[in-house]
Formats: sequence, structure tokens, C-alpha cells
Amino acid sequence: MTPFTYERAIDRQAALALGAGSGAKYLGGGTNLVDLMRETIEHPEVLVDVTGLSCGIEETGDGGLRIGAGAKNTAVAADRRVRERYPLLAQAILAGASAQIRNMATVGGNLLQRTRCGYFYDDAARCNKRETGAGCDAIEGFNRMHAILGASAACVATHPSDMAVALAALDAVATVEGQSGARDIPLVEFHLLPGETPQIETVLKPGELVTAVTLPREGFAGRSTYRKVRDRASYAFALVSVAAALDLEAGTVKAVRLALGGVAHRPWRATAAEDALTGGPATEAAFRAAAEAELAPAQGLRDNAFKIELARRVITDTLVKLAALRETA
Amino acid sequence: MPILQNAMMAVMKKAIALAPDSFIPGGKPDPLIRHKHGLIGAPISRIDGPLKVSGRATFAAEVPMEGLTYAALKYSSIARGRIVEIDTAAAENAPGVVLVMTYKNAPRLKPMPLFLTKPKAAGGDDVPIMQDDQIHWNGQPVALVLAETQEQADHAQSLIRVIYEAGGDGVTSLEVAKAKGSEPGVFQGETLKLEIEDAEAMLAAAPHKIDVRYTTPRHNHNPIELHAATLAWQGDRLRIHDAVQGVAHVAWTIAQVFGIDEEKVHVTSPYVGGAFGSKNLSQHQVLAAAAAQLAQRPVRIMVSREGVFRIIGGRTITEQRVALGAQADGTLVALIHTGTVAMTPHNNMPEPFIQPAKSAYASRSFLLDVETVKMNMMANTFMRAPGEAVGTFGLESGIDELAHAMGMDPIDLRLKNEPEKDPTTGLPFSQRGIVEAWKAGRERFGWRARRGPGARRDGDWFVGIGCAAGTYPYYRMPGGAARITLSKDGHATIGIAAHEMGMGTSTAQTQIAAERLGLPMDALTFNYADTKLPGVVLAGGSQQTAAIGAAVIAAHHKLVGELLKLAGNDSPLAGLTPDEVGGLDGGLCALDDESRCESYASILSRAKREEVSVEAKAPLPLEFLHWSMHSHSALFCEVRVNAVTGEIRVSRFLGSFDCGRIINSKTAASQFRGGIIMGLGLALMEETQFDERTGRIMNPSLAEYHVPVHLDVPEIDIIWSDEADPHTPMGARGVGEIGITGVGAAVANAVFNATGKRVRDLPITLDKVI
Amino acid sequence: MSWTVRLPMMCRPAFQTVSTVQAVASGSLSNTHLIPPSGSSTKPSTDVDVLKIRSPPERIDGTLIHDVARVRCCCCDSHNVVNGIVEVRFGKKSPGIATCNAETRIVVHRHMAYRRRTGKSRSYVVRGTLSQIDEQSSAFSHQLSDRFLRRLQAAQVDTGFDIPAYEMPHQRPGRKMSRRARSIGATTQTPDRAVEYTEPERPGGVDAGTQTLARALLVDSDFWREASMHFVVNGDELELDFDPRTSLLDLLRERLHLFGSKKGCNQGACGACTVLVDGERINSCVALAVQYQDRQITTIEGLGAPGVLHPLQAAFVEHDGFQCGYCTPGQICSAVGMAGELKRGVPSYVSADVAAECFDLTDEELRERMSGNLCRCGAHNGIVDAIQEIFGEAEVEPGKREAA
Repeated sequence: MTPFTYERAIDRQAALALGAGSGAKYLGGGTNLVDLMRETIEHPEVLVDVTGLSCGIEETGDGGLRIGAGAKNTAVAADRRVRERYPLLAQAILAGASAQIRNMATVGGNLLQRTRCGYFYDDAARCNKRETGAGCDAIEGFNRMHAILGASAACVATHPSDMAVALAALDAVATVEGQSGARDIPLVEFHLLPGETPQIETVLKPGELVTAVTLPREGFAGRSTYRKVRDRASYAFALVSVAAALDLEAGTVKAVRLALGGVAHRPWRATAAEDALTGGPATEAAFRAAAEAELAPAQGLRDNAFKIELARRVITDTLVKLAALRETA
Repeated sequence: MPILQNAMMAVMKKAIALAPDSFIPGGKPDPLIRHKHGLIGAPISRIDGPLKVSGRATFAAEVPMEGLTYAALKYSSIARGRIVEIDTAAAENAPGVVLVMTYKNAPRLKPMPLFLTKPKAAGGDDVPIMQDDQIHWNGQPVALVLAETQEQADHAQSLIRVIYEAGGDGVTSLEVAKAKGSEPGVFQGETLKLEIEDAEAMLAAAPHKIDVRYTTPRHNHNPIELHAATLAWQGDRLRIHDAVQGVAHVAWTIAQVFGIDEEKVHVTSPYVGGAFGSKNLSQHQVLAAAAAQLAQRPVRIMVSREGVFRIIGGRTITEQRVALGAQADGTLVALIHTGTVAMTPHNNMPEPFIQPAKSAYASRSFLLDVETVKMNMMANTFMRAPGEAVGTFGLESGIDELAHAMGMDPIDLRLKNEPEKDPTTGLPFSQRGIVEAWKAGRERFGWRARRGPGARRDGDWFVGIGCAAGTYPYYRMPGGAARITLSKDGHATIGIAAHEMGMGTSTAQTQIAAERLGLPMDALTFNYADTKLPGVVLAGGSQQTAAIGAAVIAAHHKLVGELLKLAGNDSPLAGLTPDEVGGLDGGLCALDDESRCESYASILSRAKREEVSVEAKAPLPLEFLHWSMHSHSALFCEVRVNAVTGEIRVSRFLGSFDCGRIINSKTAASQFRGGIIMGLGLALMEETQFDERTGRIMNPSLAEYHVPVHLDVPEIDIIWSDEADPHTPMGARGVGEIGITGVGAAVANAVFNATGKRVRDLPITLDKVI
Repeated sequence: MSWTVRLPMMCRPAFQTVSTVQAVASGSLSNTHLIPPSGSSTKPSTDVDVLKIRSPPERIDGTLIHDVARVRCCCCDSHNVVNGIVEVRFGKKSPGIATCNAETRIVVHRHMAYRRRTGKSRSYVVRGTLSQIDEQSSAFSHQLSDRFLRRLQAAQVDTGFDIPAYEMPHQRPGRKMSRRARSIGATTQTPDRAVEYTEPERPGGVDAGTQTLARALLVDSDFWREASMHFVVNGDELELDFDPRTSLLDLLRERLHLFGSKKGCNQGACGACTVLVDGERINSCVALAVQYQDRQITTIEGLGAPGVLHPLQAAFVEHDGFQCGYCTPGQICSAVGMAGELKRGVPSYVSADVAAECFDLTDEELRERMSGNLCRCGAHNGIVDAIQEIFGEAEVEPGKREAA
């Protein structure tokens, strides 16, 4: 780890001022950043500790919920309002990592965590994220955990967050602030696909700090679930995960939300599937067809082609089970 | 076994096989076997438990030393070639750095003598250790940094720049290695090739047969304790606080490396945080000692988890052919188990996967062969049940496939082929209770409820059960020696350079010694894991208990002889020989007349002695050349396979063991379970990702190399026969490794029963099932 | 000329103090180096650097100080930094110690050690006033930091001044001397030797009958690169400075020698490093220690010790919830944290209804919640049994678990 100066920000202004310096990075729980610093993949000169800022969870006034970016994962998942109104989000958070990590990690840090690709982590391997133009050793290497959607010739990495998948499905909005002011970014636009610039992972500008994530009023509390498929029963990253929510009316899909994890460089909002389903019948055949439509452009690599079939099955089965649930009061 | 020429070995073996039982250690059963209601077998809690659960057990990296420096290693990133340039200037100038050591300034070191080339050799490979610019594997240490803090050392390590030139003769692909030709493996002095009759011909002629290929990937031990040592030179003496399975081996081997007298090396290792075969002498201890010598400072080296993957070997890759031919009634006429394993040019560890087939089943003909090919990789080494762990996957899956093909119950097929004596050596069995283990196990597990493949469904889950046999040989390595000191106040101290990596050594040995001496447990102290204690005892091969046992038997025999001499003619014991007395109630009693007793206190005080101390060596381990000695298990596994995702969950598991007399029922059950759980990892998730383009391991972390977590582990039911082996110390056989054997096949067979899908390539992940 | 400090024997049984310090006065010091207590704005002369002395392992206004630190005054909590010089004022500690306001003299039974180095290099001078030493009051000793001692040792060669023959206190009866003490050639002392302090022979020196309190310290600008922070570990209050890269795990292990928390991966993947912070379980290996100031940190050592085990520790022994014992502290701390989470109604991924009021500790819930703690020896069944016994509802007999 390269030496750094540690600063604890006493308020947002101080944080932004410190974060504006070159070589500064914001520090949440550190569960990803400290690891990356030990690997010398990240080497900030200044760490601006923003834990303690923006920890609260508040009503927005229009039925939504604003979650401070400094709130710990466990605090969000355990919050009664989240559990009752946005159980999908609580389940997704609880699917991630371990209890110890969830106790430390902040919402902001969770959004900004970086890929687990073994070639990204290994400085002896070629990786376009770490070094532009170096190449990508994962494409013909061990790529079981890698992307089947939205990848490019430069990068096939996936985003490992579970929470972000649920937030994408729920149409959450991230609020970020820089020295020039604050702006709102829909979660589905927060993370980028790799394209030719895989080193750019989010739309954040230098020095911008995530301050909150706001959930809209609709949480699909009656009919939603997060399902994570992994190589062991717990404490592993997703092979494929599905965040799904349905609003049914007399056997018809009034509204549907579908987002996938483990399949792309960002949480994958399955808009093709959603479009195919909305207004149509809530049947297994329809669900399967929608899944097929969403996965039509999927491309498998040497080790991960099974994810296409797996995703198809999990989307279909998850929606079937959601549709079969009795309405909760 | 000391290495003898093959021919001499053959003659020796013949002689030992034919000798009368009484000539052979264990020929006369250990009297302790007769003790039915004492400490042997009792579920005694670990005596080091309170220290371990309160964080007060001191591990290797936890010994404070003055002036300690911390080490960080840099690993090569090519598999074969040489260092063209290594720039350490920035590292040397980094804050807190005391030393940067590379091949340019490392002291002269000899390569490690390889395991089994000498009695105390513990080297995993004989690659020169930082002596030249040559690179032999991707991950080889090329530099060591010493600094005042670990953070400073790690940072300075990242500042070292190396330019490599790849060597043309590097082999990192298994196919390329195979194309270069193979050699039969040699394991413990024996060539891994055996032919009895013409198995291929008999296979071809058999009415029922299977002929399939199985593969197992590389595995890494990954004990939770990172490999570590705290060491310092005191003049020309080297003091190492280490985490190892063989203190005497490490001391001798590192002495050879440094060209010093073994007496000058003092190694202790009281607590080891798991080893499973991985903790002996590796480059980290050698390099740390070299750096300590150069810098004249004590060193703490704790290898990072990435480093453990790079410089501590694991289990190598195997490709296995299993071909079984049977007659209509299930009698085997051909048993073929052959295949290929990868090794390196610098080690001698062929994964001997044919070991189970040598004694598991009777067959008219055998063809067993392990061919080795050479690759440039970190030298593979012993990992829990080397050979048996992965060999049983092939053999026991094969038996299951044959049973299915024949429409026969797989347990009945096995029982049909139960041998009367060792099927490949002809030696008589010392004690073999696998049939009873099968019968007890299948009853308890509810085997009768088994249905055909894919027939049972519970909601989203396919449910299936499978079974497999596990097996592990009884070993005892030579070199056992023990010291017993008995004092007038009735306290006894046993000292032997044995080890504790979680087996509960001190507890079990205290029980045994207490029982043998007739003293309460709290009157005993067991000292171990110190080269100042007698004995060359490797905690490996599931034989430490036997090795210690034989040494303690010898020492006890000598002690009793001394005591009887001291007791003299005035004692009720006068005229008795050591074989006629036993320990009871704090003294010696005649075995056939418990009224003829004298207490230790009385004997010693009459002789005006404060204490009596003896040391003795265990007899040479000849017993397993005279009898065929194995432990066995019958394993039953129930799995649930998700119909949508293919996720596999083990819902029930039973191990029915035939392992001789069990010394401590609490710790033995834990050992069995521990082996089974490692077997679940082997079956369902473990795989070291070796990138053949570079020869580099790409998942060197516990996040990416999966071992079972709590949610993966069901309740594991353990039963055992407790039938003593009449020819082993205490009637016990080892329990450390048998747990892992057979598990891979039990799971694979259960998955087949659940889904109708046969997976022949470990690990059995969901993509292989959906 | 030399100063020796007379200190009465330590009254506290925990510290059998002894120290002998010889303070060397420099002739170039004016009388005013013995500063009479004056206003808080006293400015020591700026041509003198001051070096922080590590505070005693002793409670000062409830603050246990182990390391080089600012010592907080009990009543005014002041520590002024003026031109790189720190003044610390010692406050009311026990009967006989006066408060540290401008008009009152301060009694602190403290070592004084200083020397002056001439020439281009920095001067190290301890300045201060000594107060009336109350024989009945408790006295304490302090530990000088390694760096300070090495400099003093180095200075000895340069200047020929006597270096304080500093001896480490026993921290507990029978405790061996620390490596630090041994490294500076210290020897053990019997408890009943007083430390001599006499007035310097100097015209116009301090009134021989008055022993005034040493107040200042030596400051070395190196010290200011590292933050000095307040920690509470297993109930002990500590002031520590360290490289900000230090993880909480390494702080506990390498610095405080609390080796119970284990390093298994150093990347948050195994849980062997689990400790409790304000009762919550975290992975201390990916926790930067700087972030955990002022928090209540509990390690395995703080849960219990042989002879006084926490019930869960005892249950682990009974149910054989460990083999090698390396992951065990992490498992136990994690289970204690888990019990707290259950009490607070935190759900898990396997909870059937994430919005339920509370959750039963079924085997499945227990295993999921403990899945952040790896065990390679495979002690899982025993671990679950032990935790069920203590935090679950049913009685579990060792080795005999209910069929799932």
C-alpha cells in the first residue's frame, strides 16, 4: 500500500473540498478500497473518510425513501421501512458478502466497488482497466464470473454488487455532489458498459461524492424478490442474480421490473423483457419468451456460456413464482 | 520408509511377509487394547481448548521478538526463463526498509533435500533457492524485503521492478507435457505400476463393463493460518518459531540448506493453524532465515494468501481411466485404473491415485498405472490423502457406474468383491471391517429408500442418495522416539517431537499415557513440537498417533523395566517382567493378579529416587509389510439438486468408519467430519485455476477459491466400529485423512441418483448438471 | 550535575513501579526553565524543542495512556502547540494534586528526563515545574518511546551526558520485562526502591523545599507526522500513533500484542479476524485502524480467558467447535455479534419473511449468518452446536444433534 494522508471529513463541505484534490479518494467502510490499495490497484494520496456523513434514512415526502450514502449495508437492510416497503432491496443487500462486511460497507461504497476479475486483480496480467491498451487476458482465460451481456473486445468484467441490481430494478436515483453542485443520476445510468474505456466505470466526475440514493414510492413490496445463484450456498459472488418485481391485475402484468446481476459490467436492467411483458399475460410462456428476448444478444465465453441458459431459467422461474404468490394485504 | 533399492526392497518385503507374527512390531497385541472402560475412547475435551477459544494459543507469527523485522516476498510472473534485470533501488530507499534480498546478495544456499530421499528430508522441491537468475515456476520468489513494519515491507516490495526473459523449454500446458512423454510415477520407493494377468483382455471379454475417464483439478490446502515463521539467528544458531508438521524434519533440512549442523537449529511449533500436508519446509522459511542472517535482525515472515498459492504446492491435476469388467453375478474380472498426473522437474510427488484400487476389491486381473508428465509449475505436494482422495473419486464412481449398468445395488456389488486377503500383495489383512461398516451404515442411513435416477422430487429439488467407499492405509514412519519421566509425586511427563495442527495430539496422547501408566490425566504433561525433544515424527500420513504410540510403548516398556529393577526383591512385583505388569491406580500391578501392586511413589521413594527418566526408540515399522493394514469407510450422501438452477446442496451425510480403536471419541468424530467437509469442497467447488498460457494461478484468494461455508455443511452423522486392530499401537489406525476419501464419489453418485446426470470432472458445479 | 526524581513507591498493586531517572541539567538553561505555574498562555522559549514523553501506563483522569501522546489535563484538557512545542499540563489526579490553572501548582509524580545536545542538532529538553510530592499519593512511572530512548542512547555517544538509566516498571507481579526495556539495557527492580530526586545545584535554583512538577515535554517534529489517536480495546483506554496504513487487525496484533484475532487472508474473505466494535462484528483486516478511534473494540481476549471463559467459549470446548483453533476467535466473536443482530431483528438472506418482527435461530439461519467465517478443519457441526446451546433455544448435547 502506498502511503497516504488520512482525513476525516467533518461535514460535506469539508469532504468535497478535500475530495477535490488530485489523488484524493473517498473512503467508506473500506471493504473494497482497502483491498484494492493493498494490491496497489488503487493508490490514493489522500483518503477522505466520509463515514459518518449522510448516514440517515429519511422519508422523501412523496412516499419514497432517501438513503444516505454513508448508511451501512446492514443498517439499510435492517431498516423497518426498507424491509416493509422495499423488501427486494433488503434481500439483495443480505445476499451480498458476509455479515461482517455488510456491517462495515456503506451504500456509496457498495455502488462504487470494482470487479472481481482475476486478471484485473493480478498486475502480471494484461488488463485494460488497469492499463489502457494493455489487452484483456480474461477473454480467453478463466471467465466463469464474467459478462454475457454488454461486454466489449476490451473488457468482459462484471459488476459484483447485489444491492445495485435491486436499486436498478426499483428505479432508484443517486444523488451526487461536487464542488460545482449536486445532481441526480438514475441508478440505471450510474454505471457504464466497458466499451473502449473499461477504466471508466461510472458517470461520476472527479471529486464527486455520492450523497444519497433515493427510492421512489413504488417498492413492489407485495410481489418482489431477489434471487442469487452462486457456486456455494453463501458468501460468494453471483453467477447470475435476478431482481424481479411484478404488479399484476387479473392475470395481466400491469408493471414489471427485472434486473440481472453477474451478467454485465453494470446492473443489467432487462428492458427488453419488461417491454415484452408489460400489458401481457402473466404466464410461464410469456415469462420465458421475455427472458429469451432479453438474452437474445447474450454471448458466452469459454467458461460462462452456461449463464445464458441459467439466466433464462432463473428469470422464468422467478417470475412464475412471483406471479403465483397470493396478494399480501 | 527409508529408501532402498527396489530389488533389496523386494527381498526385504518377502522376508518380512514370511516372518512369524511375533517377530513383527504389533505381532503381540498392545495390552492397552484390553482396556475397555478407561480413558481410551472417552470423549475428553481438548486440554488446549481453553487456550484456543480465548485466543491465547500462540501461533508461529505471534511470538514477540526484540528488533523484529517484517518480510514481504515478490513472486515471479513467468513460468520459465530468467531474470534479465531486477531493480531494487526504490525499494531499498523506501521508508523503514532494512534489506532487499535477491539472488544477487542472498547467501549461498543449497537446495532442499527432497522428501523421502533421507529420513529427515522435508523439501518439496530441489529448485535452487534465490541463487541464480533462473525462474522455474510462475510464482517463484525473486526478492524478499525486510522492513520495520509489514506495511513498509509490502509497499517496498511493490516498488521492485523485474524484467524477465521467457525460456523456451517452459511447459505450462498439460497437453504439451503429455506430448513430451511420460514416466511411471514412483511413490515411497515403489513404482506406481502393477499388472496382474491381462486386464485389457479380460475387460474385453467381460459380459459387463464400464470404461470411463475422470478428471480432478488442482487443489490447494488453504489452512486458515497463513504459512508463517518468526525466527532469529543467535550467533550461529538458528531459532525458528514455526508452523510445521515436522520440527525435526524442518530443522535437519534447513540445516542442510545452510550447510550447518542440525544441532544448531532449534525449531518449535506448538500450535499450527491447519496444515493438511502443506506445512513443512518451503522457501519462505529458508528465505526468511537467509535475510535474517544478512540483516542480522530477527524476522517475522507471514506469507500472504496469494503467496500461499504461489509458493506452497497443492494437489496436482489427475486424469484417470477407470475400466471395470464383471461377470453376471458382479464378480470383477478386470480392474483397470490408470492415468496421468502432472509433476515438475524438481519434485518427486506423483499423486498416487491407484492406492485405493490396490486393496479395495478382489479382481481376477489388475492394471494399475500412474504416468507422470512434467510441467513448470509450483511443485505439487502432499495434500490430505494424497492419491486416495482423488483416486477414490475415480474408482468409486466407476463401481457405481458398473452397478448401474448391471442393474445391481452398488453396495451389493462391493460386498460381492470383498477380498479375503490383500488382492494385490497377498498379505493377510490385520483387521478389516468394511463389510460391517457397509451394513451398519446402510441401515442407519435408510439406503432402502433409494429410488432410480431422477425419480425423487421435492418441489424444486431433485433428491438422490449415493454411496462410496473410503480407504486409507495404516502407516507408521520410522524415527519415533519418546522420553518418559516419572517423578516421585506421581507426575509423569512425556516428551516427543510430535505436532498439533488440530488433531488433538496432546489430549489423545495424555489419555493414552494416563491409561498406560495408570495415572489420572491431570498427573500428566505432554511436551511436544520441539526439536529438543526426542523423535523424528512427521504429522502426516495419518500416522502420527501410531508413531507416537509405538515410541511410547517402547519407552514405557523401558520405564517399567527400570521401575521393576528399582522395586527390587522387596516388592510385591518381584520377579515379574515388564510384559507381566501394567499401570493401574498410580502404580504397577501384575496383569494376572491385581493384588500384586506397588505404587510409583513407593517404588521411587524406597529407591531414594526423585524421578526416573527413560528414552526409547520405536521399533522399525515392519508391520505393514507383514499385514495388509487399512482403514475403511462406507459413506452415504443425500443431495438435493435444484431443478431450475442445478445448484447442489448436500442435505444428509453419514460416515461409517472402520478405523481400529478410537482414542478420543470427541476429537475423532471431529477429524472424520473435517475430512468429509474437505471432501465436500473437493466434490462441489474447489479448483485452483491454473492459466496454461502463463502457468500462473489466477484465483489465489479465499474469495475466488471456494471452500465450504457453514451453509454448505449439513449435519454429518458419524459411526464407527471401534474394533481394535490387533497389530497396531493401542489398536488404533489413523483417522486424519480417511474422512476425505470416497466423498467425491459419494456426492457424484448421489447427484447421478438425483438427476440421472453423471459428472466425471470435479468439481461438480451447477453448469455440469443443468 | 544531575537531577534525580524522588518518587514514592507505587501504591497501586497493579504497578510496582520503579524508576530511576537521572535528569541532566544543562548549564545553559536559565532559571526560568523551571517555570512557575503561570497562565495558560505561558510560552516556553522557542529556541528549545520539546519531545513528547510517553505517558505512564496509569490512569490520569480516567485515561489510560500507553504510548506517546498528548496527555489531557483533567480539568482543562488543554494542550497547546506553539511553534512546534507542546505544553501539557497535568491535572488533578488524586488527593495532593492540585488543579492546573494558572495560579496553582501541579503535583504529578513523574519522571523527568532530559538532556541537551549542543551543536547543530536539535535540543531535547524537558522543562517544567515540580510540585510538592505527597508521599501518600500514588506515583506512576511512564514508558519512554523506543524512538526517544534510541535518540537518548545515540545522544549519549555524542554528548557524554548521562543518559537516564531508565528502568521499566513491572506491570504485573511476576510479569517479565518487556522487550523494549530489555533493549535499552533496563533491569528489573524491586518494588520498594524509591526514585531519588534532588534539586540541581544551581544558584537561584528552585527552592530546595519545593519540588515542583515537571510539566513540559520534548517535541520531535517526527512525531507529528503520525496522528495520535484514542482507542478503547477490551475496556482499556489507549493513546496510539501509527502508520495510517495499519489495519485494525495489525494494530491489535503487532502493536498491542493481542494476537487472539487472526490473519487468514487479509482481504475480508475468511472472517478469522472478526472483532466486535460497539458490539457489531467486523473484519478487522480490511478495517483501517484510523477509522476506529473512540470506538469500543472487543477482541477474543476481552470475551474471556482460561479459567474465566465466556459461556460461548466454554461451549466451544465442550462441543469441540474447533480443531486447530485458528479460525476460532473469529467464529466466537462473530457468533456474539450475530446474537446481537438477532436481538436487534436483523434479517438474513434465508429469512422467509424479511420484514418479520424477529427471527428464530434455526440451523439454516445460524449457518447463513455464520457463513462469513470459514473453517478449513471442518469444525462446522461443533461450532453450530456450541452456538445453538448458548444463543439458540434448545439444549444440545455434545456430539448428538437433532436430525435436521
